[in-house]
Amino acid sequence: MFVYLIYIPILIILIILGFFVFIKNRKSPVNISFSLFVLSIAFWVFALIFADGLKNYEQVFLWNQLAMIGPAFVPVTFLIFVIYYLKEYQPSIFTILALFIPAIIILIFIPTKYNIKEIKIRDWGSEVVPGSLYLFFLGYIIIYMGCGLYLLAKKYFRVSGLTRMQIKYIFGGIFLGASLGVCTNLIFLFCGISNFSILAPFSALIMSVCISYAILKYQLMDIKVIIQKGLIYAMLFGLTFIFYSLIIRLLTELLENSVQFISAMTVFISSLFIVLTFKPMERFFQKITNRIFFKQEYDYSKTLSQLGEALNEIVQVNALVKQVVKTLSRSLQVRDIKVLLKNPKEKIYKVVGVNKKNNKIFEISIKSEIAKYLLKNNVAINRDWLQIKIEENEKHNNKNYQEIISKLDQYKVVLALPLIFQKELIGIMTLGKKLSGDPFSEKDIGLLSIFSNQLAVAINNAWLFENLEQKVKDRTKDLKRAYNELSKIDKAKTEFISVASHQLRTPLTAIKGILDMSRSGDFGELNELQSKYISKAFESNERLIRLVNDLLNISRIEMGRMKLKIENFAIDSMIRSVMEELSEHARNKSLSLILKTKANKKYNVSADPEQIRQVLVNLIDNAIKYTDRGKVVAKIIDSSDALVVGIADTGRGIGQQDLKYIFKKYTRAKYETSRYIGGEGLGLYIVKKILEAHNGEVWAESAGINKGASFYFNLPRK
Amino acid sequence: MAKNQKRILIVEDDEILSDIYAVKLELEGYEVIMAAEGRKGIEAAISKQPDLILLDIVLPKINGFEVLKILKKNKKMKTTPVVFLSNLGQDYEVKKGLELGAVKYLVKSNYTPAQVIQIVKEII
Repeated sequence: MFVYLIYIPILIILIILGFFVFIKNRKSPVNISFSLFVLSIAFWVFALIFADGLKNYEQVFLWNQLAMIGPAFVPVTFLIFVIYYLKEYQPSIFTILALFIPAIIILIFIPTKYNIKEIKIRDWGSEVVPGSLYLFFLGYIIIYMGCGLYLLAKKYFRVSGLTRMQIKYIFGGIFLGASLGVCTNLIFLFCGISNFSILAPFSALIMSVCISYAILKYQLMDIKVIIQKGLIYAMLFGLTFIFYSLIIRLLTELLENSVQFISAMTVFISSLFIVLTFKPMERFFQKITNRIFFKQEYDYSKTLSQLGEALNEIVQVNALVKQVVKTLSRSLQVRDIKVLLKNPKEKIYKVVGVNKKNNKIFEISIKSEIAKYLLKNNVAINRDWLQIKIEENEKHNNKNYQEIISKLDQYKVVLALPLIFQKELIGIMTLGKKLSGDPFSEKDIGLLSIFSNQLAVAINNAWLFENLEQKVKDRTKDLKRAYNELSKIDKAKTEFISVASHQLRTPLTAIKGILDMSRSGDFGELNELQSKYISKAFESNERLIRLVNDLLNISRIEMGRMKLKIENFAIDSMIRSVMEELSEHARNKSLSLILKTKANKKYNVSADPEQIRQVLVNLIDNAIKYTDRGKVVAKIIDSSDALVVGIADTGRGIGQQDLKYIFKKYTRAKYETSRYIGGEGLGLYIVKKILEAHNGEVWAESAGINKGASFYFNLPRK
Repeated sequence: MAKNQKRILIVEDDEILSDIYAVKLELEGYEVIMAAEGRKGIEAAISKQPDLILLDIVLPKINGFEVLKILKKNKKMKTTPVVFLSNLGQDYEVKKGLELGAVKYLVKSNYTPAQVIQIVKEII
């Protein structure tokens, strides 16, 4: 009876454990090898129920022989599990098969006398006299389990965190369990002590409990969530069956011995029944619990693709975060998801998208332990894992971890993920508890980690885009302002010139009018001397008027405001008219003004007549001004591609060096400046500008000082 | 002389200039009316019906452009030739003056009184 009470729950736990690990991931060699390991133990326990429970010698002998089948596979499945779990080596299929050789040898020798020499049935069970196969098994188990444990121990000192804790419990469980099993069922047997073999199943219990603990607490093989719920049902079933078996046993005690076998079979069948019906049952219960806990199954790839869409399509940070929070909340069924983004000015991380409006807004300082941890490790902070770390008393960082946890608890955050872009922590994503109350699974955290990396990139892109938009806006604004200011300045300048020239011209006009009327006798006849000087006054006044006009012209040119009014006109007539206008000045200096043209030829040209007139006035007036005796000759050379006008004088000439400067503003030939001659140095500059506007050129030639000068300009024909 | 007696209105605020033009015009046998500001110019134009108006632009109260606009709306004055005689000489000012309907736009400083009268003679 004692046997059943101990063996049956252990058996049930082992079968369920093996089964769950297997269905969790049917393709993972870690899960497969672990399941086989557990089931091997389970089969051993199963055989022991009969070996220790039955009284019939032959049956007991048989079951004791069969009890070797399970243990034959325990060391090898354990070693393979360790190899796959640690991921240090990539074993080939041949290596794996080779590892099974000792197990096969044992299987072959099971029905022989090398296995069990003799069985003595005692009232506490059956006493086994081991054969030499047991010795072989002892060596086999010590070498294999020793290797497995050695590999675990080696890894243990090189890793940290969750894996370290997992290894700790696997190692502890296996070491204790295997030691106990080896002692009670092998070493003690050789020493002739059999009555401890009853304790053997405890070794299996220790192993299963330790590994279950690692699974539950440290997410070994990530079946925590299922186990948590599954265990409840399993326990329920297990208890029912223990209770049931107990009654059967009591009944058999009262009735007949042979019923023992039936009851043992009942246990086996009922276990099988649980296993087979569990999946549909689980679905059934999950549906019910989902309704209770608002939990919905989510599709990993669908969630990722939905999130991916948001990342690709949304370019505004706020909208992006909102969409992401919405999608994540829906698929993960999480209470609060927040995205905090770096605010470099205030040196804090601030919430951007909020799941619920009535939530407290929280901030995380850039200097906080959370931010430091996330940046340094670039992994999610899981509040529960951190708590475990503290409990495990990893002395260093303990205080910092405590600080992180209290901050997380303050805002009911369970999971915090780093948003890292180019080694900078640009933000933090925090998640509250799941609506179901379940912890976050490895899968959830995997999904969130992958996603948070993408989110960081997307946020950075959105920032860049927003910055760019802002910059464009700012620049446009600046440009507009600058343009407005320039327009104002331009307007002011134009007004100033307009007013200034108007104010200057008014008195000049009065002088001009009075002098002109005086010299033409409107105010009475003048004598020769009076007439001469009135004329000189008139000339000077004319120059002053031209100066005002030039100034107006210069500013117009420099503001780019000179607009040509192109007309077709006869340039020879214009030269004659200009010469006529300036004839008085020439006459005063006894100079003759001559225009050389071919008889009866019309020299038509397309240009702005007012501007060209200004050019001619300037050039001819200059020639008169700088010539003391002789003549000023104008000639026109007409060709198919351009019309060239030359103004030649017999005056003072221009020095070779001065030739290049004379078309510049405010410069005059050196020679001139040494002897005062009225002029303003603007004339030739204006001439040059006007001709440039007409796509024409102006140039000067001179044989030297006192050898006269010639000015030419051309107007291209289009 | 009487049949040649054409009436010229000078709207000019500068006394010296208006005096010069008046003297020269009278010497040439024209009847001259003078107004020193825009509003008086309009009044004189309407009451005296001149044959030609020499109109300055920079004037007290109403400027020459405005004066011309008003005159162009007046039935009787619509067809009377108006010559702008101003020392404003920017392109856009000249353009504006001609667009408003002036026959000529003369920059005062570029013309002697004799030349101005020559132009007046050409017009009427």
